[in-house]
Amino acid sequence: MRKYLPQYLAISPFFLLFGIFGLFPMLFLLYLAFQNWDGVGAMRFVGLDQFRYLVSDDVFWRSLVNTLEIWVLSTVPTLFLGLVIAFVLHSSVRFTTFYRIAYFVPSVTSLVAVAIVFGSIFSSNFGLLNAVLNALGAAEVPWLTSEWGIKVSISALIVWQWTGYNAIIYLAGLQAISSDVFDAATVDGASRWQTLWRIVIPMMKPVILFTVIASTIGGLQTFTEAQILVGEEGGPGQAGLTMVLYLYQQAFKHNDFGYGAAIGVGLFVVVLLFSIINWRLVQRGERA
Amino acid sequence: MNRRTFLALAGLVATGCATEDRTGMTLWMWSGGLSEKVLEEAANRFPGLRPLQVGAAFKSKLMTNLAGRSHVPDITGLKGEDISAFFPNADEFVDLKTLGADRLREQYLGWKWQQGCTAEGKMIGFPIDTGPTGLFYRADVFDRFGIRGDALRTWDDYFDAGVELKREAFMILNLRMVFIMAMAQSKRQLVDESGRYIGGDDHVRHAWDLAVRAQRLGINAGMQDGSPDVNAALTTGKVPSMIGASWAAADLKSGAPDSKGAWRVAPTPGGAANYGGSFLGITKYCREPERAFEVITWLLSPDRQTQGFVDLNLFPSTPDTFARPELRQPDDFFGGQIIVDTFAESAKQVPIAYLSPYEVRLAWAFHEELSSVETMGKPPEEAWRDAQSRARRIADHVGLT
Repeated sequence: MRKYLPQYLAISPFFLLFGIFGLFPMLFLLYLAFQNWDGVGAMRFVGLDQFRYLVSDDVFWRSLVNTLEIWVLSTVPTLFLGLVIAFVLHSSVRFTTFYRIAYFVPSVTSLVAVAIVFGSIFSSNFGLLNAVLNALGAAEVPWLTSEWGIKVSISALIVWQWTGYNAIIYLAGLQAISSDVFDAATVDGASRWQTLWRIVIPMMKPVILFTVIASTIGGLQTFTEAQILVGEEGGPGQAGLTMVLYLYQQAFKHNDFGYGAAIGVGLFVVVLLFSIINWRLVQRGERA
Repeated sequence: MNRRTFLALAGLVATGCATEDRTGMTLWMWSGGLSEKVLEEAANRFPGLRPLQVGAAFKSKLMTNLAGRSHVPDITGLKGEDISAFFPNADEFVDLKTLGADRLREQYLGWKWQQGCTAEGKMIGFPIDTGPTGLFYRADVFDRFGIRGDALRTWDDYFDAGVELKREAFMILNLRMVFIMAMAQSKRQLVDESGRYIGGDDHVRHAWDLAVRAQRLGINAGMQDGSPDVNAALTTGKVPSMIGASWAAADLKSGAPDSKGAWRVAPTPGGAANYGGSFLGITKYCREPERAFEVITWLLSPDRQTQGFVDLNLFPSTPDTFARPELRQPDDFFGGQIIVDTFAESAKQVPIAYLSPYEVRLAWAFHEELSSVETMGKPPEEAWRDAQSRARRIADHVGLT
């Protein structure tokens, strides 16, 4: 033991930090979910009460459905556009560094600032988007006050922010594909579109799976976008109330930490479920 | 690691904790809660007093430090909408009555004083400012239709005027505003002193019906609070009125600067009410409660409240100051009107109401359903039933009868 002390010390920072900020909160959450606690006073053990309330809480189920809808609305365009942009970047020759930086900037921009800008774009009566629609002679859309308007607005923000990031990852994947393959395709007379669908996508499967898993985990935890765009209550009809926003609202706004923890456990189960599905998909892919 | 480095590190950690064992007195406040000048003066007058500006999410930060029992401020600000949430944990604070608060009671507004006290009679918050409400309206728009703002004494008057200018403008920003203000005019809220849910009673139904009527009459703009639409509508006159607290004047000035001079203030249709306003409390971790009480009473004395109004537009909770010339200044934004007079009248008539710790959480069910009525056309009766079943469920969950 003494002999390996320096090695253990060298790796200890991660485990210490993980223990304090990762493992302890997770275990404490599990403990809290069985208590009634307002954050300051004494905790009271309530058994499965919080979970009973959770499964019969239509707001929780709505937040789950909202989260999944926003996830689909944002992830599908993000990954598709990311792939197209990566493909274009890969084949273009001019200003590549400029484009790479330009596409990456959104994902390191302050989310709150971005959400405020998007709030002005999607604002119903005096927003930029509706002004454009007006100029084109189209009808105005109540973006932030109708159910699908809210979901599309939140998704648009996520798409804007993460398309570039995914494009850069895809670009790295593309560059790992040998140019021989592309040359062969060109010789065989494949169009750009055919090259993308028949060669690039099949060969990039592992990279695509990584981005799908990453966006699933990120998408299920959507919070700031919704909080800034439609507020802590999730907007009209709670159309923008995601699971994490609901957790935050119950625990930190209404001081119901026990119930907030129960929502956290619910979220954990959902993420677990999706991770299992993803994992099965990857497994099958490898066997085939 | 040799012993010397270890000791050096331990020493560092110890100094980090040493702030805990301090001699001074900290005071937590959010920005704009108390005048900076007054706080500076207080720091000079009471050596060792350290005012600290705590940023956003004030309540969460205070709760966290109370839960962690460390770095808890000696004196802390408590927002009006949060104070009742601290009532179940009133023992975290010093009962100000034990420090002789009662002898100052006469100087402060009765209903405001009551808001800082729990149902059991413990006083945890000392009055800072208040938010007496008024009707803000655009005189230019009202004049065109021959409507007199100060003649709109009841909700009926207000709605009738709304119908008259319907062709050109929406009288009401959103239904939530009507419901909140009508509830603020009521002596009873959603929970009574014995912990019984009374959200299905007539006074709530009355506020609800008023909101629904505004929708039926077609005088509701249906704009969400805080959206950029609101400022634009107030500037252009598309929404020429707003019922709000005294502090909303500042929001109006910053949000709709181009409409300067067009606005006036009249008494709230349907009666006086209060919306917002905060408190100072002393935590149980304070080691010199008597001295802290001295600080608080100095900070919130009528003279300092006058200064608070001059610096930050904090509306005083001490009625004797209402007549002071510093407050009674004509305001150009409101066409030279002395708006304080209107709010002062309102402040003296606010009903005394018991606020339970669960008002915000329960009210949410009603706000939510009203927003479904205005944005999605949900039938009002169905919305009322849903609001009731939701609020009842929350009431059961938090243990109300």
